[in-house]
Amino acid sequence: MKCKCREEIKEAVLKLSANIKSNRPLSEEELTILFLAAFFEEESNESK
Amino acid sequence: MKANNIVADTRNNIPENATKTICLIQLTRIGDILQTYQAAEIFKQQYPHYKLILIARSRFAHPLSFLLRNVFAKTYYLDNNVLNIDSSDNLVDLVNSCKAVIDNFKNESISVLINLSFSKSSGYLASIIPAEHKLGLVYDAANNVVIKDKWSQYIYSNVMGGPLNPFNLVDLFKSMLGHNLPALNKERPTFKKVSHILIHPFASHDKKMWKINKWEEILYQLLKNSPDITISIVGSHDEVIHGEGIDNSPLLQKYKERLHNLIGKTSLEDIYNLLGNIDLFIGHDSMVGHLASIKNVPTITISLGTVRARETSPYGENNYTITPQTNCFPCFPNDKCEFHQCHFDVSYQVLYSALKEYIETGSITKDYQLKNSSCFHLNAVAIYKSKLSPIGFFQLENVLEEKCSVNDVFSMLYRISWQFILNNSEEPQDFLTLTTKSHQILLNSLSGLQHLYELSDFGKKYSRYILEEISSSVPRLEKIKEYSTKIDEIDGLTKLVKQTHPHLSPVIDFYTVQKGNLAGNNIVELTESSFLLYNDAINTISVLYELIEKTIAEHKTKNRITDNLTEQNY
Repeated sequence: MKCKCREEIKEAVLKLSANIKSNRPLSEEELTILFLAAFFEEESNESK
Repeated sequence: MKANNIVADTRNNIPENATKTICLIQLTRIGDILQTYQAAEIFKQQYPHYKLILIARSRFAHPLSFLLRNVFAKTYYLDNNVLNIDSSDNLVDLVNSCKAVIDNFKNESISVLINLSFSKSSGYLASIIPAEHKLGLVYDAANNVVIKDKWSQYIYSNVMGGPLNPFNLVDLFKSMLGHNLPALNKERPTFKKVSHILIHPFASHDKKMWKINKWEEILYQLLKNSPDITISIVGSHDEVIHGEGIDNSPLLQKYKERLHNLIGKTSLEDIYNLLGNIDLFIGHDSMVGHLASIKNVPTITISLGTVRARETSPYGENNYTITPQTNCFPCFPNDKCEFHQCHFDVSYQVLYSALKEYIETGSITKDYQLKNSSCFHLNAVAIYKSKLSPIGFFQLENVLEEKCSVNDVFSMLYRISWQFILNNSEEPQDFLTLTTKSHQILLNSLSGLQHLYELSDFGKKYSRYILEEISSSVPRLEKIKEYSTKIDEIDGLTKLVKQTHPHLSPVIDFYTVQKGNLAGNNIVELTESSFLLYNDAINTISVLYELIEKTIAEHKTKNRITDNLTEQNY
C-alpha cells in the first residue's frame, strides 16, 4: 500500500470512530473504508 | 430457524429453471476453506440446482482452485492487487476500486450471503454486499456486530472457546447452509495392506506440532520395522529447513530409498493427486489432513496446543486422533507456553504403537494398545476414532477408555442438547460411563443449572412485567426502568454462575450472544424477544438437567450391578 494511502485510511478510520460514537448511521462508503482497513490489517498479520 | 427455512422451504417451490445464488465468504486460512469446501460439497450433493459462489483470500484459496471449481460456480479471490491497494493514489481511488469489486458481487444477484469466517473484514464485507438474506456475522450501520441465525450464534459463542464444543466445523458450516443435511456418502474400500504413507509433520503454529526430532524417531521405527513401506513427507517452502533435519539424520540414512522428502517441492494439487496412491496419512492438525479426508484416505492426527480435536479433525469415518490429557489442553492462541507439556505427553512410542497396529490390522484397539504400549505413555493420551452419527454428524469416540473424562461427558450431553434445541433432531447416543470425578462434577453442575433456571425464569417474569406495563393505559416509565434494571441484574448473576460452574459456559455464552442480537425495532418487540429468549434458555437448561440426571442414575445403576457382582465373586 502506498504510504500516503495507508495514512489516509488510518485517519479515515479514526474519524469514523468519532462518528460511530455520535450514533450517526454509517454509509456504504464508510463501511467500505472499515472493510479495507480490516482487510489490510489481516493481510499484513498473515504476512508476518 | 431462519437459516434453515431459506434453504429447505424453497426446495420444492422454486421453478425448475430458476437458479438461486448462494454466496459464501471465507476469508480465513486454507484449513477453513477446505472445511467450507466439504460443507459446500454436501450441500451441493443435496441441492444441485443452487449456484454456489465463494469469496476468499487469494493467498489461501488460489492453491485450492483445482478443488474449489468442483463445487463453486465461481470463486472471487481478494488480495491487495485485486483491491488496487498499490496502484491507488489516494483513499478516494482506493474506495472506488473496492466499489468496482463489490459491483461484481452485486451483479451476482445473491439470494443468500453466508459469512463463515467471523473475522472483522468478512463482517464488514458481508455488510456491504447486497443479498436477500444474510447469515453469519455482519456489521450494522451503527457498527455493531449482528448475528441473527442460531447456528452462527452458536459458532460465535462456542467455537475456539473451551473444550466442550462437540461439533466439527464441517457440520457447523453444513448446518448454516441447510437443515439436516446428511453426511457425504463416501464408502471407504476394505482395508488393504499399508504400503505407502504420507506424513505432514507440520502445522500453522509451533504450539500445534512436535519438534522434528520426534518425527525422525517415528520415521526410523516405521522404516526399520516395516520393510515394505514407503514414506513420503510433504510440507511448504517455509518448512524446507525442517526437512533438512530429516535428510541429514544419521538414523535415516539407511532407509533413504524408501523415504521421499517432498517438502517444498509440491503444490497442494500435487499433494491431492499424490493422495490417490496413499494408504494412510499421518500428521498434525493441518490442511493436509483435510485434503486426505476429502480424498477419503484414512488419517491419524496428533492434536496438540490450541487444537480442538472435535472441531477440526479430518472429517469422515474411521479416522483416528490422538490428543494429550494435559490439564491445559486445548489452550488458546494467546496463552504463553514455553514448555509445551502437551507435546511431551504424546510420546512417539504411543504414536508408533498405534501405527503398528493400524498397519497390521487397519484399526487401533484398546486391547492391542494395552498389551503393546506402556501404561505410563497411554495414561497421558486419549485416542479417538471418528464416526458419523445416524443423523450424519461427525463424532469422536474414545478408543482407550470406557470411563469418560469430564469434558467428554459434557461435550456429549451438550451435543444431544444442541441437536435437540438448534436442529430439532434427536441423536441417539449410548450412556457414557463416568469416572468418580466426572460423576462429582455432574452432580455439582445440577445446582448451577438450577440457578440458571431460576434466573431465566426471573428474566421471563420481568420481561412480562415490562410488556404488561407498556400495554397498560398509563405506562409508568419508572416501573419499566426498574424491571429493566432487574433484567440487567439477572444477566450479571448469570455471569457469576459461569465463574462457579465453568462447564455451563457453553449454554451461558450462547444465550449471552443471543441476548446481544435480540430481534425487534422497538421496546415492545425487543422485550417480546427477550421473553422468548429466556423461555428458550429454560428449555435448554431443562434438557441438559434431565440428561445429567439420567446419566447419573445410569451410573448409579451400573455401579450397583458391579458392586453386586463383586460381592457374588467373593
